[in-house]
Amino acid sequence: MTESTELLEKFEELLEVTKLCYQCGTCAGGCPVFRQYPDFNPRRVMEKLLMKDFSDQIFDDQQIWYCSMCYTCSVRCPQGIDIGHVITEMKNLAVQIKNAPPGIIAEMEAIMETGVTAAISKGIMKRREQLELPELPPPNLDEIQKIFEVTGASKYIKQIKEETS
Amino acid sequence: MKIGTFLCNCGGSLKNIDWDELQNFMKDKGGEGNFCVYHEGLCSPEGKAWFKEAVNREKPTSIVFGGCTPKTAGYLFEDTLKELNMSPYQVVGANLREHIGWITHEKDHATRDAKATLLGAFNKATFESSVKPQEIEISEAAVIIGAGPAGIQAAQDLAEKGHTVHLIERNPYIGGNAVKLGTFFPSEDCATCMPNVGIKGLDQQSVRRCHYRSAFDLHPNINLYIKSEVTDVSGALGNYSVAVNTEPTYVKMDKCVNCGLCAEACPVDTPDEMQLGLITRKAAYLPAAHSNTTKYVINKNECPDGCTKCAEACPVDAIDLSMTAKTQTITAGGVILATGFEEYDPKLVEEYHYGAPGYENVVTQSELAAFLTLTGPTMGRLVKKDGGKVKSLVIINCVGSRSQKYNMWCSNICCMIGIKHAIKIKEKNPKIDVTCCYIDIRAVGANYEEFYNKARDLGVKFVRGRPAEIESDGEYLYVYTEDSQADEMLTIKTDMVALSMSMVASPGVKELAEKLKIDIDESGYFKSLYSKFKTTETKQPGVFVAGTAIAPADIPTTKIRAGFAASHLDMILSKGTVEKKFPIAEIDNDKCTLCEICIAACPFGAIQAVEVANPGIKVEVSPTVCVGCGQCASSCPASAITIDYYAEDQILKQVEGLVYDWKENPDPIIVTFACWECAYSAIDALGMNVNYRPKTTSDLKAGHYEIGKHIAGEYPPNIRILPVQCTGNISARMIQKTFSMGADGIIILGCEEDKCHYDTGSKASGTRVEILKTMLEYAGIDPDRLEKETIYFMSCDRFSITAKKMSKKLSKLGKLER
Repeated sequence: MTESTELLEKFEELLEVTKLCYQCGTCAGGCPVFRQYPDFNPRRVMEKLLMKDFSDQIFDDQQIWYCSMCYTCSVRCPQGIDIGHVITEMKNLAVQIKNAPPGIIAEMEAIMETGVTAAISKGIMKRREQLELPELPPPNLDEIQKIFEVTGASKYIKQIKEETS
Repeated sequence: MKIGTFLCNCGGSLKNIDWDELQNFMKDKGGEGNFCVYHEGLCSPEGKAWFKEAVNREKPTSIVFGGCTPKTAGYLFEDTLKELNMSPYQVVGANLREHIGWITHEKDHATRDAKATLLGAFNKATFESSVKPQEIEISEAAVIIGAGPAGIQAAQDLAEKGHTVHLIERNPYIGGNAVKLGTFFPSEDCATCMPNVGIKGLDQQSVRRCHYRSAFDLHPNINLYIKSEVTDVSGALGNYSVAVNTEPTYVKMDKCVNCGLCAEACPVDTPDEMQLGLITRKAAYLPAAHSNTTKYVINKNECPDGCTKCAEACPVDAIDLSMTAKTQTITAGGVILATGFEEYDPKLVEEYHYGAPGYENVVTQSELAAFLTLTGPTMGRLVKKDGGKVKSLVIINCVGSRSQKYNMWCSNICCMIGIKHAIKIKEKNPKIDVTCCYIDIRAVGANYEEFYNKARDLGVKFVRGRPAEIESDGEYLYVYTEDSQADEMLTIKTDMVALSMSMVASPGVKELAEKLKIDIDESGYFKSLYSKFKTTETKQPGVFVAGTAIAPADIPTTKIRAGFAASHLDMILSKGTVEKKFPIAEIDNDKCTLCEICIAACPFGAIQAVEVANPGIKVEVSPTVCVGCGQCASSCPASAITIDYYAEDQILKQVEGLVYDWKENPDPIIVTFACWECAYSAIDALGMNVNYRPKTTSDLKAGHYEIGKHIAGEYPPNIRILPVQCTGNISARMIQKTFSMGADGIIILGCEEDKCHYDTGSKASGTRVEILKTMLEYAGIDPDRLEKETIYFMSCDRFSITAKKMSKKLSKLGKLER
């Protein structure tokens, strides 16, 4: 199976589960991101899928990356659609067609190289001390890199970097 | 035995059949006395007279009719046969017009197929019909279960038509959910309002009457049983025995004058369930104040030990504290189920926190109705449960409805109930802020849209969005929803939230359905016999469903359904007898091995094992219930069950005729068993398609409409069609023997599986075909030689496609080796 047909099948699968959506807005009403940032509306994401309007939103649109993956929408959806999973899968597809936002790539790279998305600053350490939180263990870089290797993420990052440079 | 064959050439239009050859073919069939005659228009008045004269002269015991479809010939000759004192089951039709003359254009093919069809019919006619019309006496009484708006309407209608009605109600009051709703739309007046049947009082011509003065329970034909439940049902159409258990009310209904002195004397104070538990009542109380047909009742579970204060206070000696529960058995001809609905448990929709501490003011629509009703706990004032002022209210629609997670169906009336409450609140106090959160507003009844507009005029806010959550800070409620028309997040701070709960079937319907041998649909409601009409009938003749026991509905629809059910039950009961003109299952008890497979096979519960003196147990068919579909016969391993006219040996004898030319015919023969209902009509439809289409000059020039050519709908020759009552009647043995007798392929043509006229017949034949295909494969026969197709009149081309496909396949496979 070629990669593109696999992608297409995966995508058809997503379209199949969204068919039950009748745009009631329960997902949006419960979405903590939508409350703060109205440009990300899970109902709109579902609508685009329903209307098969892939032109700008689905993969070019960076909005799906604002999903915090709390899965409240999945729990609340009266039609039982796992919306959080749909959005996560869309993110995966966007990555596969090399359409992930540069910020996300940078984050991936940071995790691969340092084990964390943002360096643990002195300020953070101090605040943790104040809050009586335990000291953070150092990231296990060997393990992380192994995961990146097995999942193909490191290869992917390399490719992206080559293409953009 | 003397068989007369009548051939008719439909006005001479069926030119592609060689009628002389056909007549010669039939002439020497079956020996002495049999005859074959020909006419060109048998259904004309002259033709009928000629037919009558011929029958009177020759006196045949059976008639074979070769001409148009027996579907139409059946009714065209019904009166003539009656005059000749012959039963329609003494006639066997051979469809030479729709199935052959209008389809097959080559004369050789058409004539050969016509011969086969005719010989098949002739063979079937050699069996003397034993179908004798039966009349079974039935009871004129009716049992109605549930005394809500539907039960009341059905009871009134049947009582007015003169039937004895036994109305059984679980609650100590009648009126059902309507009592709790206060007012109803779109008339915006009392939900309990009753139609006037003019039994008592002076205003006999008025349109409607209050519940309390309807004198409903005084109707001489109505027997009302409150606090009663059906515990057992036995019998069948015409003669049901219904066991009813009645819990004591400790008040003699005929003596009580509703003075209320018992309640005054009663020392008990207990939360009143009809008033949301917000106010108290006594243990001696009037269950529903505005429903006159009930008297005071006493709930003895709440009484202090040995207390007799109420009995002492009663001035008319109506209280008897020693009353006990009693069970009585009622005989009735039919049953109407008017068991209604209940609200879905709001606690199951967790994100709205119904019933949780801090969420006391999250209520259901029926609770809100109580607040808005004069007879309610607050006497019509909208207040919070703690008595605080309500300045704003949010209505949430579709709670538990239209959902894969809760209930799939739309509950039909919630939009309007919400709007009704919004209007009531706004009319009384326009300052109260009312917001209605909806997915879609479904205002589908007469005057409903106007009602919706009225709410908007009054300033009710409509927000399109299903709230995701309700939160409470102890004082206010916060409703989180998207306004999907504005793409905006809304947080509505409010005093009260009303949930439009989904409507689900009343508890106990499953048990009732089992007792009555009827089905429950996926929604948990009673299943109608057929969804387009026969909506109030069930698969059990004599058992009807009314009101919201079928599906959620408003009061107008509930009443219509109840009237429909009552009128249809009246049609059965008023005759006094049930007439059975068609053949039904007969069990040969000598052959029967008591395996009881037939009992399981009958979808109508028409077969029972009954105890007899000798040999102890016997399997018996209930003649009023049996519809003669033959599903029992096809599943009987001992061949002990026969349905006359469609018996196994009759059908196989007909097959023998249909494949008479299997040796000399160079082409494979396909035998099609077509269900006499939708499937046979659908094949007729193919012929009609060819013949009846308007023929334009240009089409004729182009060569269209030449019989059997270029028309969607034709099928190849050598397809021999045989009607059966239901495809469920076709046994594995029949299929196997049909192959061995000369068929090269078999098509089983049934009605659509979910719309089988005999409930499970088409499904059963589908399963049987699947199993037989595997067995054919084992036997080294290509399983493609056996196909099942489902069809209805308007989808008739499915047969054409299946027949062509099989014909093509068989021409590759060749004839079956025997």
